Amino acid sequence: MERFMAGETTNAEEKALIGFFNGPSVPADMERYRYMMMFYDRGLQLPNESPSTKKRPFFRPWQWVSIAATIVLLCTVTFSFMKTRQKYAPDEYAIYEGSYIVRNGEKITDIEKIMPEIQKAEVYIDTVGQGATLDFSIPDEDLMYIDASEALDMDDPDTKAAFIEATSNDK
Amino acid sequence: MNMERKEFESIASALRGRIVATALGITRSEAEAEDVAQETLLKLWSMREKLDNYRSVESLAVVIARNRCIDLARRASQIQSLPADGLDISDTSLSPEHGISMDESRNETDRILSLLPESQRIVLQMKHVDGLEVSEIARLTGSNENAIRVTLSRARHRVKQIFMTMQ
Repeated sequence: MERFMAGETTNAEEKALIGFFNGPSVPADMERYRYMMMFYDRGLQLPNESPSTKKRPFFRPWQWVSIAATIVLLCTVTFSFMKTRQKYAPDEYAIYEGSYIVRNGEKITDIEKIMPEIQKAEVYIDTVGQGATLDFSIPDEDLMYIDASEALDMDDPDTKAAFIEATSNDK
Repeated sequence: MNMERKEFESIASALRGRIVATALGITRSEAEAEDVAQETLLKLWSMREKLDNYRSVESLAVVIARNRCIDLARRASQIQSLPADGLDISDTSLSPEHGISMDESRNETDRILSLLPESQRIVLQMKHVDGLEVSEIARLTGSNENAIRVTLSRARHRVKQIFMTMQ
């Protein structure tokens, strides 16, 4: 290009230079140079396309390869995921085989329809189960002791005597 | 084309001495006279197809050379007031009474070329329209290759400047 600008290139060299600018490997920022070289190539006639309207393809050829690869990868992942689901979904329902619900006096055995009900029931059972655990949790010993002492009637001489005996035994 | 070129080459070499002498008589500078000779012969090449219409190509060459000298003097006196940008487009084509009229179509291509001094424009045309090598242009105009290269280089830099600032 430098030699071209200096007027030192032969016609053959200029053809090769123009060939480069017509090729696919011209950087986008060289678009104006490309346009200028077209002007020379056409015998000092402006190309019909202007440099601003002439858009480079959005993706270069090599980029299409990676786009295709991405699509293939996505398809593979989606298909294997769907296969996995199909494989495990019947098993998931299998343990509820034979289940049914009765709605408005009608017996429904369609597993697809009753699954939501089963899930609701499971959630309910879980909740109740947690509550039960709390109910039956054992209070700590201090609480037991205070409860016991408060429950004692100290005005009753028998009780008082028994209490004194019990605490003196501790010493 | 070859015949036409050969013919022009012989006319040019015969006229060159006369043109240089005319220019020297006006500018008193050998370098300037050489420039004028180059520009005059370039101009003659650009009108080679019309040369048959002139009774004497020699007197046409002398008229062109004289106008060139006047332009040079005018340009020199304008240099102080004008930025040395080369923007002055001294259209030194002969006035219509001499029978030479430039086709003035107003399209973009012509606009670009009109921003170039005429000798630069003609060298560009010889290179890119007529497909001549620098050596051939030099031979046709009787000047040395380096002088043609300098003119060509200036033309290309000017064109580049125009393209880079284009909307």
